[in-house]
Amino acid sequence: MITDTDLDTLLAAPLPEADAGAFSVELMERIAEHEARPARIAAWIMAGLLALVTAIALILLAPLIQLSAAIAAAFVAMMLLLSFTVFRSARA
Amino acid sequence: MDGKGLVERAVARDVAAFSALARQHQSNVRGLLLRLTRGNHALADDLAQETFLEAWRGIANFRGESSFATWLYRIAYSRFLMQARKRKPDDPLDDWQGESPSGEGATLARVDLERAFAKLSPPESAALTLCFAFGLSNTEAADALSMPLGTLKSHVLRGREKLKSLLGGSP
Repeated sequence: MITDTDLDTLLAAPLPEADAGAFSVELMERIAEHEARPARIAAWIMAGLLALVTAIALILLAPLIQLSAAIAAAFVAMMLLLSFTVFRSARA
Repeated sequence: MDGKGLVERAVARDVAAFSALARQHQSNVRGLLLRLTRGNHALADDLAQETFLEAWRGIANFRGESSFATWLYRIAYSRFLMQARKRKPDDPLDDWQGESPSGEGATLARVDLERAFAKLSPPESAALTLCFAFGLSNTEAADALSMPLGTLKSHVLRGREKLKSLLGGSP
């Protein structure tokens, strides 16, 4: 039967020291990623907005510069696809 | 630089200071979580990473009312509880899953102790670890575990009795 004193001694023994190396490196990488996130999101949103503005400009300007409807539609579709992709990336 | 200076710099969002603090405290935080997860090293380290990341995100809210270590233990324990609530009922953390402690300090009693700890409830395990292995006062431990002082004392007493019975019964 274990005595109170023995139990106290056992409980008070420090836990085995864990190596900080790989753990600290991974933590710093995660912190750096966390810190970079707002700038990354802002960049993606800017790219998305630029794509949308370009798509809208194409729709409005196509008749003026006599761009064929098919080419304008293809450009618009590509821009919208790009916008959708960047917004999804920004949310991830 | 002393701990207080490092904390002040970390609160001002100095990554290097926070990194130094994380190195100082990582062993205890991981040790506490290892006991709570009953020797699951991967899960304990995952939770410890989340603990420090959450600490970094919320460092501006650290007012110094408790010690930095106590504040970290509080985050670690609440992370563990959140993870335990999400755990599927058919995926419990039953017995000690870790390797037996090795190295200079490894004794049969130590191995038995870790196995016995795996039989305790999380609040009992956390209360005993904070009060005995980390040397926190009952008030500090109650603060870290966000529970009233009386409840903390009950967990310590009940945990000790369980350990005595579990260790006394081993061959």
